[in-house]
Amino acid sequence: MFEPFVAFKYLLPRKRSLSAALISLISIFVISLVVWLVLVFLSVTTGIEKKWLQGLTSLNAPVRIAPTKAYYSSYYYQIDSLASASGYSFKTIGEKAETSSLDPYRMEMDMELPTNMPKNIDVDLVKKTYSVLDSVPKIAYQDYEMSGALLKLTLLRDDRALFSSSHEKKTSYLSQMSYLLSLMDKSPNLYSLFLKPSSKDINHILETTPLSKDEIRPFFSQLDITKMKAADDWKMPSSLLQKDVKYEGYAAIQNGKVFKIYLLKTPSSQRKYVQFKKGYLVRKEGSLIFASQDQQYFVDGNTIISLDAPISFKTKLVKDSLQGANKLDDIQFAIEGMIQNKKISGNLAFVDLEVEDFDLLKNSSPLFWATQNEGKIHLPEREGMQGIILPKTLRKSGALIGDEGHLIYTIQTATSMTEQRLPVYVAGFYDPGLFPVGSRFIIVPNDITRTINSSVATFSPDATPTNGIYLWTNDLSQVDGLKQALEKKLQEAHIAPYWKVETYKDYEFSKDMMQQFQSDKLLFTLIAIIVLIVACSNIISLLILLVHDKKREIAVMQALGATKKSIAYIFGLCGVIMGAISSIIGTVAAYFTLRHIDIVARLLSAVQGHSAFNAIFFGESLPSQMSLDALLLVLIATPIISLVAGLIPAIKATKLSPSSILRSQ
Amino acid sequence: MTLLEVKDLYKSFSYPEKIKLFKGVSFTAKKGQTIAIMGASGEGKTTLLHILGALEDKDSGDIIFKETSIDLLPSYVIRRKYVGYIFQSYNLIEDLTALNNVLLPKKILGEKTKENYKKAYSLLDQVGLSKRADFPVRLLSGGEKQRVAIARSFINDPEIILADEPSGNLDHKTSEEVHTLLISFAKKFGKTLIVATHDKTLASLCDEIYLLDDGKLKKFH
Repeated sequence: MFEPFVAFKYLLPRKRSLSAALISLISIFVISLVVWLVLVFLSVTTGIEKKWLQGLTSLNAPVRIAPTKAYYSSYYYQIDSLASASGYSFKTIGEKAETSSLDPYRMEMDMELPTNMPKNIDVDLVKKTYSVLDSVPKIAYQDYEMSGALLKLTLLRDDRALFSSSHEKKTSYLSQMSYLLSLMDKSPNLYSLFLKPSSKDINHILETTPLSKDEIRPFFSQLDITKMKAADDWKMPSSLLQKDVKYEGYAAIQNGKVFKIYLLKTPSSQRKYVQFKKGYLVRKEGSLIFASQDQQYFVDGNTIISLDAPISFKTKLVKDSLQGANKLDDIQFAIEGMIQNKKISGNLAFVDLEVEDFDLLKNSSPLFWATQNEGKIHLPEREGMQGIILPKTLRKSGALIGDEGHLIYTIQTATSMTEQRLPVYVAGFYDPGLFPVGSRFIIVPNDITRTINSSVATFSPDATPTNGIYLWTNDLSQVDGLKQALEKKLQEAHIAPYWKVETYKDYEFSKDMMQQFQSDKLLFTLIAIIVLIVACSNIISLLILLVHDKKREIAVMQALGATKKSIAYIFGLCGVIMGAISSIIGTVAAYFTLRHIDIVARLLSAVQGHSAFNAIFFGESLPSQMSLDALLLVLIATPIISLVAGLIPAIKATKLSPSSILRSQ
Repeated sequence: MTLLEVKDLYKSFSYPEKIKLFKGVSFTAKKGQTIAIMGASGEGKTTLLHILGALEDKDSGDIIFKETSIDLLPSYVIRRKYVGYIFQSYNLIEDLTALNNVLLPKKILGEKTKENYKKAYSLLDQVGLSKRADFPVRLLSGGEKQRVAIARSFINDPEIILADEPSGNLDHKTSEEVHTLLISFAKKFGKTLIVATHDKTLASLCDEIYLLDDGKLKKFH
């Protein structure tokens, strides 16, 4: 083809047409920059929206089925409060599903029914609904319950006074009125909101909870502790020192006997011990010697060896030591560290050490924190206390895994109000995302919500029904179709009036935000297109310059038989090629930027002097997946806009009169 | 056999001032004939060639190629099939090699065959530039460039070669070489050559000489 051949020839930078080459490079750079910016920006915003939606639909669900007024005023619901078999109390959806009898009312035992009592219907509304839901493919569902209580945690913390080695415990309290949400262990993504226990949590558990013999093994078999820190007053066993290696230090010596040795952690340490003698410690075969400038001393087992600065080691659990370990001191770690750029290594008992870094291993039986096994979340339970999951704001307030406390609620009896307490402990934290009242939601086992709900009147946060059924599907784009299908099925089963089907787009707390997201997206896309048009308009000026520069060649080609269409095609193609090259460069750059988005975020934070992306809105890390919609937008829009930009100079090129150009020799 | 017939051609320019350039130009050209058109500068030699090659429109009159009026054909067809151009300032594409310049009319036609390559190479060989085939033309001398242009004008095998002052930019010796080459090529391939020139030597080599004077074309001898 002749036209692409000429178009490529024109676009290749040449020394002799430096200005055109420079402008074409600048144009490509500018368009690439815009493509890059649009892709990164749209990908990050789409990712954030997706993350937020996933968070929202994990803590709640994409689809909710809530009972309507018709349900609550039905005989089916009301009868439990009048029947002794039901304990004269209303039943939740979950309880209804577990009941075997359709009608608990016994005429011979129970009081006469009020006259305005609705007529019985011969359908078990909950079970019928469940059977409808069972017939829908690719969904998971579960009933949920909400209630409220006062959370009161006792925070026991080490209060280590300065210059004192005593470990005193200080007690403080953390209270918050909270909503309780029953654990939806079938939610496919709920566990992804749970935060990994921190090393602070692990150290807290080890410090405050005496692990029983039976607990030690499971506890350490679910952790791979990779790094530990020695406590300030750590006594270093001499066995860690390498043989025949000199370690610099200061020794306290009296009457020829060495009492204490401080080894320098780094050779450049400025710390001086005035009363001490400077020298070095060497481990020889069977003996330990401290050599000062003028004398050598034997160091015996009573001498305390310490470091002048805190030290961290790489650690690995000695698995054999776990077999038959009765207490923490029995557990050994193989450690490896550096002092004075010299290695120290050996086995160390778990004494005066703090966990600094660890990996969680898969473990089926939860001990302190919640785990997920075969897709189901398990909340642990210890010594009569239920494990609960707190929002991460409470972690910021100082709560740690293992902290114990109560959920307090009041019940009203005929004569008084009584305060009830349910013992609980913190079994983990979760990220509520942008869920408006997320910082007040505690995830608790179903038993707790049922216990509280049967005693107190329920209340609702943000107009969320306190009892209902949540439905999860993997494809959020299908929820509207799912809602319609469900409504139709409920209609067919003649139970539609009792249930209201809603999607996350209808939820009171998310409705405004969803609409905002929608309009933001439209606005960003419009801005992206406008910016692309502005960037691509560069092509017009470049190609007009090119047409001017090449007008003699254009005339010659016409004299040799090229049509006007061919000439237009050449310059249109120049525009498209520039757009396409820029799109590719911008896309590749965006791909690498998104892969290293955290570095960009850190860089921006460093420039600003504070965190550039608040974790509450953006999550712990920015989304790094390229948005397919944004990619399509850029890859289609850029060449089209470039083509349109190229057409203007192309038309100008065809308007040239070859005769007058060839004549002006 | 009459190949080309120009009848009563009129052409005027209104910018920058109204000039009546041709006031009824007529002539005929036979197949294989070489014709020189002479005249003072500004008499319209180049314009006449441009009108014949469909690069410029005429005001009135008729041009008949092989018994077909050029008004009935799209201009690019005339440029592709009937005429080959040779310009005073060569008008080659400077970045392309000599071979690619000769091949350009074929590329414009969308033909990219081995035969074309062979033909282009053979034409370059015949103008004595086979060794320069792969040189970018910007590195060639004026005489060499004009020889590339001559080779290019013959590649599409046109009926008529239009040459506009083909030796205008060349020194005397090179001019003579180019003249000889041009005339011998036209004769060899049996093409009609219409050459606009000031050069009497070149004109004397042609079968007929016309003088363009005051808008009319007069036969010289």
